[in-house]
Amino acid sequence: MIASSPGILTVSSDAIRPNAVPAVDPPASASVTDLFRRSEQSVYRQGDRLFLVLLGLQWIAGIVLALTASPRSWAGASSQVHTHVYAAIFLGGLCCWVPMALCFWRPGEVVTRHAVAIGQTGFSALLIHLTMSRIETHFHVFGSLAFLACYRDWRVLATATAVVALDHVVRGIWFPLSVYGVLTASPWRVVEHAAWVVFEDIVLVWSCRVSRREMWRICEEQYRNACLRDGLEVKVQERTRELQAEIAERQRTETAIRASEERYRAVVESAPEFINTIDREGRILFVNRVLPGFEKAHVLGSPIYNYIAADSVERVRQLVAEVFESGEVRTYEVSGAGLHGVPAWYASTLGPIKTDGRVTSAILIAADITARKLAEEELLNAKETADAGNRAKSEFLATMSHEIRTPMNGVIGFTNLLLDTPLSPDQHEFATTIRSSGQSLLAIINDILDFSKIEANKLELENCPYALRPVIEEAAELMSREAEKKGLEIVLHQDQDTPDNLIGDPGRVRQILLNLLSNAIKFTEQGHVFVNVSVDSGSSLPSIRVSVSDTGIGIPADKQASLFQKFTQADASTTRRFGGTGLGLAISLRLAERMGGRMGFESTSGKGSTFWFTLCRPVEAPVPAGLPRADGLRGVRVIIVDDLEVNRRVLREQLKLWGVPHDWAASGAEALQKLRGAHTAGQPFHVALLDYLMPEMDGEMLGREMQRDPALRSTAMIMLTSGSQRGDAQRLLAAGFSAYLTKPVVRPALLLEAISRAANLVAPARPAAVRPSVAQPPVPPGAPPVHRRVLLVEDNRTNQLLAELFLKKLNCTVDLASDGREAIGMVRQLPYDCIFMDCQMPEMDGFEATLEIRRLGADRRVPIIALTADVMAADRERCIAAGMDDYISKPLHLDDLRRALERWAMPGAMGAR
Amino acid sequence: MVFIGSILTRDLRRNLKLGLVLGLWVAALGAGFLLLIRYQQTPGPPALARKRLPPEWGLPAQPGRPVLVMALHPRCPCSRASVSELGRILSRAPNACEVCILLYKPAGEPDAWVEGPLPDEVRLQGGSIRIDADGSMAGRLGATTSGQVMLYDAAGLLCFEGGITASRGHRGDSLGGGVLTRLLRGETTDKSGSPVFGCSIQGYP
Repeated sequence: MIASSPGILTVSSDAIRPNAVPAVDPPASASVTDLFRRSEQSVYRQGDRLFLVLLGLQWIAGIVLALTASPRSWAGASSQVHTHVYAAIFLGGLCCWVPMALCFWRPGEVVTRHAVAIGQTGFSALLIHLTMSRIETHFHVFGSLAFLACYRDWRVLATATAVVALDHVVRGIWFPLSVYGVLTASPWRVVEHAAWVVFEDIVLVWSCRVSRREMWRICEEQYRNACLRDGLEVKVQERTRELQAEIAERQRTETAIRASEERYRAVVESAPEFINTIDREGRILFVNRVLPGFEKAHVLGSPIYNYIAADSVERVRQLVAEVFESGEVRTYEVSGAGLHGVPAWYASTLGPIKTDGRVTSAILIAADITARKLAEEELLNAKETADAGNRAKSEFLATMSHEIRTPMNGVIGFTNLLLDTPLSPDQHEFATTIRSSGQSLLAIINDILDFSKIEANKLELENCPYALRPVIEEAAELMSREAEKKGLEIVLHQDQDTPDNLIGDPGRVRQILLNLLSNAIKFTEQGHVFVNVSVDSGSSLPSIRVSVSDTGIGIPADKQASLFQKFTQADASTTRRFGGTGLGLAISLRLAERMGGRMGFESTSGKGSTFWFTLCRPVEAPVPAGLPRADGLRGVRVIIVDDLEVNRRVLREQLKLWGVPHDWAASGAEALQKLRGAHTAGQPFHVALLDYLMPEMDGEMLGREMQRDPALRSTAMIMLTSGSQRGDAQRLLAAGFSAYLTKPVVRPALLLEAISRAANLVAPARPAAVRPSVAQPPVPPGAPPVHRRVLLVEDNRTNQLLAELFLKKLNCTVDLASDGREAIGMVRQLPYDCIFMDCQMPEMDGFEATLEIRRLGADRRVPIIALTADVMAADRERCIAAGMDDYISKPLHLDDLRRALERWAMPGAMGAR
Repeated sequence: MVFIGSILTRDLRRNLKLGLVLGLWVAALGAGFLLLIRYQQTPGPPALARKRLPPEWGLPAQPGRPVLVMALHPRCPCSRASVSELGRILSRAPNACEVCILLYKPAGEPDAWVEGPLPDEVRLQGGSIRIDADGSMAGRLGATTSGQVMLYDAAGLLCFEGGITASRGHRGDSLGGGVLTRLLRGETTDKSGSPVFGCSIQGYP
């Protein structure tokens, strides 16, 4: 804030310095008033200094004047110093000493300048006296006032004027002659003197005021400048502080960078790798160290290619170009210069160094991997040796397998034949034991063979499209009898959104599933086995998860870790109790992994286990063509009666998918209650799905109860059973059931058809004569086989006998040949409906014989079925390649032979071909 | 004044010693000036002039004319004021008298002792100069103080004696100058004398 103008008025004069304002350098906190006070004080001090000199000069001048004008006073011839001289010295001195002293010791004080005013006017009076009252000396008064105006303080002028006035008044009254030069002064003369003084005072006061205003204005200007300067200074200081902070920060940063650089330099220079930076042309710009024998100065600037094996230069040059172009890291291994001139191998990483996003150079880190390379080479050699050994082992196992399977074929086959003959109970039991032992031994051999092939990396998998559901259903069907024997149920469930089409080896999938199902049944005493197929949510790739859950004994936590190891079961007692080689899971795991999937399990001891595996490569497919539509079931209400929750859940999900209203009951009693309640409510169930095996009241009992109740008689009944016996269907149909479906494979289409037909039965206009068609349970083929003439080519006598017996059972006329050459001769003589050809025979093996037969049989192609103990895919392919049509694995089974004949040797089959 | 007094009082309150000094200083100044005034206003000792001029002096040169005799000490600082006033008086009454200036010269001193600006100025006034060796002539006339004027009328009788300056060395109107002027104009006056301000001619007693 700028202070208002001071209220005091002072007389100003420009006698010393017009508008003189001392060059003050006010602090930022000073106000305009402060500045003005300081300027004023400076003016006062200047005035004091002026009068310090002026008073002295006047004193001297007075003395000189006295000495000149009246040096001496005379008395006759005598003279003495004139009184005026004394007056000039002492009175004049009196006028100036005190003011001068004050000017010297107390400059700028009020009393000083007022003393100066008194002394100065005293000099005027003295001068007038010394000049004998010359009227001209009165001008000294005016001059004195003008000089006093240098103070720019009107009060000083007032003091001086007062002294002058006092002098004039006093002397005018009592000594007019001394002041006016006349004996008697006229009052007007007094007035005239006073008027001149007052006039000058007015002029001087006005001048002082103007001068002080100017001072004030200058102070204001100074203040503004000071403010601006202070502001600027503050900004400068702030900026200076900022710059200092920035500099300090920069210094810290530079220190940190230097430290960091030192660290990295230490790391780089102590690194065992060779670290280089190179330019686009491959010139080395930096290197942390060089090989002994090389000079760093020589290496710097030279192309990196000088140190690389000649055959790798172009590849590295290409990699360098790629790094500079793409800005991506490249890794490679290259041989180059090494210690003592011995070439070394380097694992190199080439990365870009970017500046402003542009690759300006590249960093090359090369680690000496010569030792590793040598170790790898040794390992490779060792591996090849091991592989050779493994191959030999596998071949040995395959051979052994073949050699063991051939006699086992005879043992099991003839035991089967023996069991078809009349035997005493003991003999039947012995024969049965022989067969089961043989089958167990064969299973063990098969497991060992599989595992050895997997270990030898000889397992070859098929890679063809297949549908998963039939594979699972077949496996479940195969194992259902085993489950049924233990009173277990196998429940299948497949999410509707699960892709069913896959690419892979369905046989191996079935093998895994059979193994898991077999284990589940083996280790479950009661409850059920649940097979679930769903999309694998834990995998990043599209895959399907197949899980087999049981309610068995589970696996203790401490045994779980070693479960997938070969020849391992939960413990040794398990093997003794449940049998098995312990290879099943190991084989399954490896099969799953070979097919690109995973395998695992969760288990709680005493509560059951869930084993799962995943299958990759599902094929995107639309809704399966076989997916049944349930448009005809609108308005049909269904009740599910099953004691097993999983069974109920599977059926409920299926019905829910079809949009069929349904309810469920866990027992026959609850079912009856709900059926009757629904009838009473006027919303009867149209169809009841009844489980056969239920505690207290099984499905058949419930059906009969429903038939007895008139209110429930109209509800159609469908029986779902895990086991079926001959005559079950007829008995149940007679009991009022409209359909009979076997578990575990309750195919949706079949279920839909059964419900649809049953629903039609209960429709209001149901024709009584219409009987439902019943899905037939799987029964052995009952039709008598067609007579065929077949040629059996087999060198092993046991196999010959076995196969001949089986074929004769299948109504075949069998001709025997012991080797391929003999077979060719027989084919030339007779037209056979089918040839069963052993592959490995002396003289001429099956492959060669087949080729020859194919060459002969130009007019008619006779089916040739290979009989082989080799189950490797390569062998099968070799059979097909040789011109055979199919193959049967040894040991021979009657069913296998029958299916082959039905497929290849049925009347018309040849014609179709 | 009240305002100035308040400022002074304020400063003085701050320093009583300074106030005391200033008070003494002002008092001394006043006293000094009073002494100086008093010196200025102090005439020479009163003198009784001779009633007639000594006839051997041959004055007046033209019989029947009044004669004005002034005794001067040529080195007295006041003498120039007296000569100046004499010239101013004579200018107001021209040719009213003969003027004779007695210039003191110590015995034994050459005449050149009196030379200086004063004789020249006297000559300008038309007066005759007589060297008054050792002040004997002035003594015969009874003049003791430089600047003393004695006017003898046409009859040769003393009609005025005294100084013609108002104080020491003071130019301007004075009591003696006025009386002398009227006498030279032939006017009457009741005054015949005035104090004389100047140095002693006769030496210190």
